[in-house]
Amino acid sequence: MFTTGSKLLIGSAVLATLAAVVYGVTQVDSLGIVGLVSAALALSFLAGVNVWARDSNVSAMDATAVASSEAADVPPGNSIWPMVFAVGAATVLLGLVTQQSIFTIGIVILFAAGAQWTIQAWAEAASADPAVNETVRSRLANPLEYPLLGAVAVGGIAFSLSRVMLWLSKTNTVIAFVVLAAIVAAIAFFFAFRPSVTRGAIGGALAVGAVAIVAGGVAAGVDGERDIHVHETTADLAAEGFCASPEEGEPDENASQTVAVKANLAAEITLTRSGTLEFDVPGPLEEGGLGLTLPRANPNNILFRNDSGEHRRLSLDLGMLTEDEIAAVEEAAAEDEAHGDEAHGDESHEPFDRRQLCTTLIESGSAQLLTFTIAEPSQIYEDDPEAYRFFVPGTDAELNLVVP
Amino acid sequence: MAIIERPVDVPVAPTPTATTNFGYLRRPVETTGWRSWAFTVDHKKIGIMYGVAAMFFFLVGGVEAFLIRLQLASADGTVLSADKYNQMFTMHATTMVFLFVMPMAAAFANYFIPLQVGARDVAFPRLNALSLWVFIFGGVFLNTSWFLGGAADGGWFMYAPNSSVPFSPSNGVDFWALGLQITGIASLVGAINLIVTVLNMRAPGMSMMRMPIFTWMAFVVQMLLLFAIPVITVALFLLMFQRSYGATFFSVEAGADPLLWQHLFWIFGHPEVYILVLPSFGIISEVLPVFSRKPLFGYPFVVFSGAAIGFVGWGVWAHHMFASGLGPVSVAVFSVATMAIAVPTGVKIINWTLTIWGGKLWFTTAMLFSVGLIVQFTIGGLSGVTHAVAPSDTQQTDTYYIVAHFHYVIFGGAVLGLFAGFYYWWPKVFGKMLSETWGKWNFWLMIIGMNMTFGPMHILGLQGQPRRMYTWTDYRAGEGFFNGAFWNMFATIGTAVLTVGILCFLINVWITHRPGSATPVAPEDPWDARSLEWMSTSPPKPHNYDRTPIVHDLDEFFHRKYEDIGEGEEHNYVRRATGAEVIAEEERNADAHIHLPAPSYWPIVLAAALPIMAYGVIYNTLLIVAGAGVAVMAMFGWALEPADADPSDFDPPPTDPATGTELANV
Amino acid sequence: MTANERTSMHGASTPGTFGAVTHHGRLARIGAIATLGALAAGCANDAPQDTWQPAGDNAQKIHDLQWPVFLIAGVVGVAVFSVLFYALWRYRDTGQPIPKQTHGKPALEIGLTILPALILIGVAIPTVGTLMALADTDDTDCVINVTGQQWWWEIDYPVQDGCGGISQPIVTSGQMVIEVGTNVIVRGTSRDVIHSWWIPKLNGKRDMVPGRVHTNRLQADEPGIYAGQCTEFCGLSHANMRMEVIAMEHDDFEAWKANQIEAYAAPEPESLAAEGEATFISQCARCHQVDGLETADGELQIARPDLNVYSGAAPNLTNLMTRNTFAGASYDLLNETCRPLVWEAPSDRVGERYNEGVTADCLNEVELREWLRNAPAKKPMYTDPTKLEETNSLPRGMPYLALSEDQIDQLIAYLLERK
Repeated sequence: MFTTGSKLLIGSAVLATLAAVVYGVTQVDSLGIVGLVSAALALSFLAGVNVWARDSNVSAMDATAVASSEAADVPPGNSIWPMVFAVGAATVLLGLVTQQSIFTIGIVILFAAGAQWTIQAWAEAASADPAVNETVRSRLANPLEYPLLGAVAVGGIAFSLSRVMLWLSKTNTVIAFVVLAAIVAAIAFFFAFRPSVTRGAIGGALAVGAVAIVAGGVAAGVDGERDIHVHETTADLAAEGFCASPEEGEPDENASQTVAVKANLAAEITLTRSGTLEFDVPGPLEEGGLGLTLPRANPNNILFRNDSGEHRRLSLDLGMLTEDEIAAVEEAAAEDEAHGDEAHGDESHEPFDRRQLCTTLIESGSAQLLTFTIAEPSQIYEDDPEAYRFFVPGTDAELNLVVP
Repeated sequence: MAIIERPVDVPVAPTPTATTNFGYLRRPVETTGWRSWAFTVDHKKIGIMYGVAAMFFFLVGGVEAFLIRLQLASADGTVLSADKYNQMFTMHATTMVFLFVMPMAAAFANYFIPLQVGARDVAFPRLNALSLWVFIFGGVFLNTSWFLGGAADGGWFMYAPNSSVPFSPSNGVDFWALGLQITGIASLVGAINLIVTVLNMRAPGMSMMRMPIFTWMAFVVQMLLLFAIPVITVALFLLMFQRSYGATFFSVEAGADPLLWQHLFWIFGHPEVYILVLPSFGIISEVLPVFSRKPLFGYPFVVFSGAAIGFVGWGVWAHHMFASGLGPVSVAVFSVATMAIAVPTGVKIINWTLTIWGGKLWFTTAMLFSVGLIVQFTIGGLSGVTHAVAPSDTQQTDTYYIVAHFHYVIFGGAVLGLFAGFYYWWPKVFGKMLSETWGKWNFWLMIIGMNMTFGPMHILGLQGQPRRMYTWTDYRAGEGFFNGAFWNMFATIGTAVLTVGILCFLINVWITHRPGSATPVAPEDPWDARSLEWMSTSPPKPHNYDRTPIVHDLDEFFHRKYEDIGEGEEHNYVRRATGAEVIAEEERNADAHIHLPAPSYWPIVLAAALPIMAYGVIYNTLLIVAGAGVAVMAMFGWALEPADADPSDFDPPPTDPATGTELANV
Repeated sequence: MTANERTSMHGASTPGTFGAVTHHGRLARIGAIATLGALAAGCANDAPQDTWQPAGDNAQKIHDLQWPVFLIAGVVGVAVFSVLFYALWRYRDTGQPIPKQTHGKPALEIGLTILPALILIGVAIPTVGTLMALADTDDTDCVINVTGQQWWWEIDYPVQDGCGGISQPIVTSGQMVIEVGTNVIVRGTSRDVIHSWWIPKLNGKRDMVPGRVHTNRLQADEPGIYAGQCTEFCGLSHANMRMEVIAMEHDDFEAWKANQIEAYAAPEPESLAAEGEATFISQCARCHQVDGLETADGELQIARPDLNVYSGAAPNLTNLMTRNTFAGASYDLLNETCRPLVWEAPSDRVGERYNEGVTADCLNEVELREWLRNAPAKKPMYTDPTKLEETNSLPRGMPYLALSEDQIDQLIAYLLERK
């Protein structure tokens, strides 16, 4: 009943429990206790399964059984794993003195080689028949090996391909992808219509393909990615205080904010060719109102259309910043100056004192979305420095925003 | 027949033999006691357990429904708080849809698909056990939320952003999302299993167009599940990341559009409706011909209309969103598509009616439930047409009119069909007939109760009572005797009648099966049935058929009992054998060497890992690791366990393991 | 439906029913009886949210579409059930021989497939036509914004030439006032979760989704108070999120608008109401705006609900007593004596009676007091301070304020003057 295996598990479970108690008494944090208790539970569970399911390993105390075991008499075969294990150990040491990634790789090699070594040693002693031993080894190791090796292979190829794609220019990426897919399809068709092709030929073709992709990936990875341009967002522009500027930032060719709603917007605001701002909402509001009315404390989505013939942005002025906020802006500007602002080189960083939001600069004929929430009502509706208004920097176009 | 067979020649490994069996990785052998159920891979036992678990959840959902109706019986109800009420209607719908109707349909599909296609088991018996246990653990996990800070309170449709943490701060929605994720795994695994079974394991001679109609409908349902479950899986993952890991898929201030959730939910949710009703359509398409004594009218039309529903069902989801502000063009498209799907549904009703037409009707309880389904579902279908008309739907949606409509469809359609199935197949599954007297009480009380409960909801809805309100006020109930207050009280009384009706079923089961019950063993063929599953004993043997049936006709069993003595186009059937004789004939010619899959410890262990991980998502990441550990261990056990139990494990060991039928470990 | 019933019972003599209904009354009655006989007989006389009693152009369009559909559904239902029940009776087991084993008649099948398809095509065409008509915004006379939040509606009238001219924004809540006969476009959105705007007698419902603006046409033929309710489940107090539309004649509407933008009148010094003003500033004005209210040092008091409640808004109380419900239109401001005077006023007196507002004699002081004493105990809201860690300690709804009875007296005196 209590075989060697179950005794080991029971003993380990007791040890883990004791360790948890000791840890709990001596240490403050709970992570260790959770880990140790989990280990104790898992070990108890395994021990229970072991006992309950009658682990039928030959008892260590059964001298006759061990002595008569033919398997015990078969000498061990060749093994590559001690060597790999040693390589792992060396890599770990190398990693310790150089960098962490190498250390991690070493640990992985150590674990993999250790596991393989253990399984091989166990399987070789399973019986005197090498064929049975091989089956035994496969049944234990294959469920682990196949998914892991598969994942590594797929991951490696995917990563390599991604490096190649990032190295090519945007247009060439598309072409490369189409060509690659076409080649894969062509080869697949070729094999499909020629059942006589040997496994070796197919395997060879796949191997060549994989090697080519990985090699390409390595080369591309060494050369580096193409220059990927990141557009500034409305939040960046507002934080930098660029909303009053007619040319700061660059025109966005495919203007689109990260806004999912493209229809049923709060309003559409158009900068006309004659340089006025007009807005459109359902109903007759545009005829004689003070401006656009939007609810307070609510995320509003606005679409800005630029029909002016020039690069323009729509800005929203929400009055003066509070003194505290101005101080914060000035501090940030001073810090930028001290460290040198990477993004904008040596452009001087003007401190700003108004709360402004804006779209990116967009080309004529395109459109851009702006999402914003306004906390305070616009109590004063006309001709006041605190009034809320939309404007287009570089033009006289203005539109009042009323927030009741 | 099954994928995993016991090898005839057990390879005898060299000494020591024990090491080749991997110690505790043996296969269980018990044929009695709880182990014979917990580790079984027999589709029939699994089917029964599906049924028992689903029935349990049906009662849970029923209690929730009763509490809802008690709260609404009169104005300003105080039975439940607003918070508890919101949880109650959320969980009532979730329980009834995901934990009762779907698994009960799975119970029938599991039990009868292999029998109806003449197979010994499903294609992947251990996966079958896995889906059962995953469903049970998922359902229990979902319901533990009641004791851990409250259940989900966002409605079964769980619209964003009301499902986000600020608006639903308890863990209820987390339990809901993860619980449905788990039961979704069960459905998906089961669907793949049954699809493969239907496609690959039909008996010789059974072409697709000779398959019993229930198998056909269940097959369409599995295809729907195969494509619908991934959609809800994606949606639930988005919701989980939104709630547990700070994602912003539904955060408007971050630029999201909350309608995304509605589209995802209803692309799943509408096919789900057909997932709920098609199995019952299949059941009554079996029952009506048997008790009309003539074949199903227009079998190919019923099959193809079922398949058509399966396809068109994907193009109508936005009719749940007519008031969501999609814009008139989209609404028009979906409105017309929704009307189109009424056509194949109408075809079924026409075919059922024409099956009855010209028959020789035998009004058993099963038949009554089937006719009840036709009537109640027709009412639900017609009220459905009134809100396929989108402008009219903007008046009806989210009112009690919709509640009435879908209860006529789901209770009147799906649930009545399931009850027809209970009465029809009870002798097949348990070897005893349920009492017809109690059955008729059961039927009439349920029919009266459901019409009293859901009928007035049409009126309430058209008078403007919205759904999902924990309370209503007299000011909005109207005047006169027959006002909203009257009908609300009436519906609550109806619920009581309905409850008594369902209790009749439980009593019926109890008096049939209680220890010392006088109910005799059922005859082998009590209904003079037509389809293949009745060609096995009642209850079927573990290996289903003594010899693999060879199929020549659509109603194979009928044609073995009756002979056509007409000439040419003139058919004239006379009885040549009783069902018992046909079955005895099969027994005399039993196949030797029938191989059945061995039970396994691992499906239940693997299933248990999922709720552990789900608790981990809610409470502590370390638990996810622990659950994943159990899952990996179970997968290893699964992969490594031997194909069969060692003969020496049997108690007593088989006398001659190399010959004869080896059934002891089933 | 009830309208039809009435029409059929009283004939054309019933005042206030509409031409279309009377015209179709007979057919509709047959339809109603045929489809849902019990249902037709069972309708309440005058449910405020009855979807079969259209009181405006848009609801009428829907009604003109829905009653024939109900009729068709009823006829089909009767036909199916007649055949079915006849068959059930005719072919019961009377000892006849085994029936013919017929497997079907394809021609019959195809015919019976095409028939419902044709009927549905007949339904589909007018459906699409009505849909497009209900989406039109070109004929708008007046734009009103509504914003839903847990669990009340804010209603604001933007400055415009429409609505007979609005020169200054009007903000109110719970009750929307419109002029009889004008085409109003409601532009709606939400501040938190999805709500749904529904005035059954005026139009179908429209979900109001955060981040999106949806429109809903409203038009009323007769003056009156039209009840509505939020119909998209919106959390804890969904059942207590109601609203009303008050339709009134042109002159009454003009009077209402003028009253809404009247300058703030401070309470008489030393009066109870004046104490109430101070209490209001200290206890309520953090969230509730009263336009024109000044603090003791003469500055405009601007409410900042965005800092104090999760949805970022609280009802504007400038003219509270011109409305006759409060707290998401859940409770009456009028007591039981005065309520019927307004709610059941003859249609030519609705505007006049409504514009009288709530006087001290008519105030439903019991419920208003209960509300001020402990709002979350009256209407379920998410305000328990121990459960607010997920919303930055901001409640959803009005929290318990621990006001003393004296403070409540003062506040009621002050609020009674807000009209």
